[in-house]
Amino acid sequence: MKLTIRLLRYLLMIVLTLIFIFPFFWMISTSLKTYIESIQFPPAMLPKSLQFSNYAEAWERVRFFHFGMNSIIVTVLTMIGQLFVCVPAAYAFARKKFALSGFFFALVLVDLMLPAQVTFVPIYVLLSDFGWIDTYQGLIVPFTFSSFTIFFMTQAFKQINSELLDAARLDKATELKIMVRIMLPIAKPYIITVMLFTAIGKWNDYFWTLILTNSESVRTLPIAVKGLLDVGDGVNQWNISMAGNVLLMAPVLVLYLIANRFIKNAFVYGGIK
Amino acid sequence: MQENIPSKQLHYRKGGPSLNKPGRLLSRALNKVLQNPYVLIAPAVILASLFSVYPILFAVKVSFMNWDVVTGEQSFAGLDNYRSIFADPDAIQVLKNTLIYAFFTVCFGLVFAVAIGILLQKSTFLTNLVQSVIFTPHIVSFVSVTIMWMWLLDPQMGIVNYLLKMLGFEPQLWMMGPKTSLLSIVIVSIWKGIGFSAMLVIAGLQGIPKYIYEAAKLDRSGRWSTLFRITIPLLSPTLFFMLITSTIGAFSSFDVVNLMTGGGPQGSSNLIVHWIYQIGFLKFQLGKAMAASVLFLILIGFISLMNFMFFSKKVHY
Repeated sequence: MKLTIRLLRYLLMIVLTLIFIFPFFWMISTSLKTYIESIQFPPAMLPKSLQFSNYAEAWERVRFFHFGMNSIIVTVLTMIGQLFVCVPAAYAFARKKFALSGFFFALVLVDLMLPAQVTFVPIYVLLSDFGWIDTYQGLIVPFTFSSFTIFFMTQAFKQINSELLDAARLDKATELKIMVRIMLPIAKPYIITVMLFTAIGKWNDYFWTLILTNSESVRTLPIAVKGLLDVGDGVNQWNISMAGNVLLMAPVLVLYLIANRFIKNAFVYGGIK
Repeated sequence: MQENIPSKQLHYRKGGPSLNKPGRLLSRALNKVLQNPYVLIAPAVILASLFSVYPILFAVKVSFMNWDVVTGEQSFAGLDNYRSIFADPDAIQVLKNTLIYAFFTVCFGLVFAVAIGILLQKSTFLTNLVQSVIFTPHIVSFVSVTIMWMWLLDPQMGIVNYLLKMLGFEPQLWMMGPKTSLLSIVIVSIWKGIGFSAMLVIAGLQGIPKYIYEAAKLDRSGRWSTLFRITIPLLSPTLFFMLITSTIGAFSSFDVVNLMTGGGPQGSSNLIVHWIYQIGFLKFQLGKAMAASVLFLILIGFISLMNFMFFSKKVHY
């Protein structure tokens, strides 16, 4: 009885792994096939010879350098912006007592309860009044505010021992010093965590980039890679599309492999608290 | 000029340039400013008002107006926009699609998450590995995931249909067929999100004290009664949190629809957010799109309230 349950568990785990690994395997395998191989029936599990030229072609067609630079610019500047907008606010909410703190914290949390998908039309109108459609600032400034980052950092700052801060104040440390020399180093793991969230989210963002851009000048990678599928003559070269897709995923997957445990804990922590 | 002398002396004594008087004044001023919590929260509050509170009020206002995007003309329309939504047959279909989509992604998502969570609960090398594998789709862009799945589900060349044929089933049209398009996006959404929910369940399970299970064992509680009488009730705060967030998430789905089916064929997989996008951005009917946004806002608020009312009673802390 015990043995059957154990075997069943292993079997379930193998099935689960297959369900989640196979699409990735199939994508990589297809990305290295010739066009003819990619559409043959019955499908071949592995390519006969590895067509690395597919990657070169996908790179060219997507204009990977151009859109990749856009992705990097938008991602990095959004992260920096959040450090200046969200971290001080979280510090104030966690560590200061002031009259309207409850009201303003609720205001920040409205955003957590209501996804921006609910109000994207007025947000679009507002940004177009600013003349921010098709600009970097349009893709960055609104996202330097993140209710999630504020919420997460507020929790982190609340955990810091207040005696430490009192001691620093007795030593006449300035606010800036307390923040930069004491709070930030202690909260560093949390900051890295939220910045990981921000980076992955921004790198992967499709919805806002689609809505806030009309031209290719500031568009980011996901939309460009998606463009590989929209070929005019109706025949999709799946091998090239898959190569482009691997290129799009690679940075995030490498990051995930390096920081696997860390990211997982971060997601759990961030989701629950 | 006279005043500068002592500070210069200080500067030489201390051996650093940072304590000269203008610098000290500046740092004092900065210290004063940074002590004020309102200054610290100002950027965040301004952006929050601008991009989450103001848009709601603006949507309410414009939903009562006719707004011609080309000429920029605006006029009061009363309830016309709302009437045109209620008279639109698409609206009913979109609402129905969204309810079906949300029901299946949320229910199956929760059930699978609990099952996988229990399966992978013990932390061993193997379970951690499986966890990481299941979690991977969550950190990958919807664009990547849908490109992958469109290839797997391609009606002519996809491997899923090949496997179905091999096993003796009818091949399907998947996202191209009116009957299977909604199912396709449900499958992809669950596949992408399940790793995250399973992780939340595992975290929740680890929070349940061991002695409760030991007590249950002493009382000869069986596998299933332990599951339904102990594990799930004690997991209910986590499940409740997941229910609310995943319901809101399902109702605001856009990427998977836009990327995989474009809402088609014949609107069979169109969901609310994508429909609003089509009205506002492809048909340029801003007033109607805003009215739909307002109704959607009310719907989301209503659903969250229902979730709270019905399920918070069943949550055991």
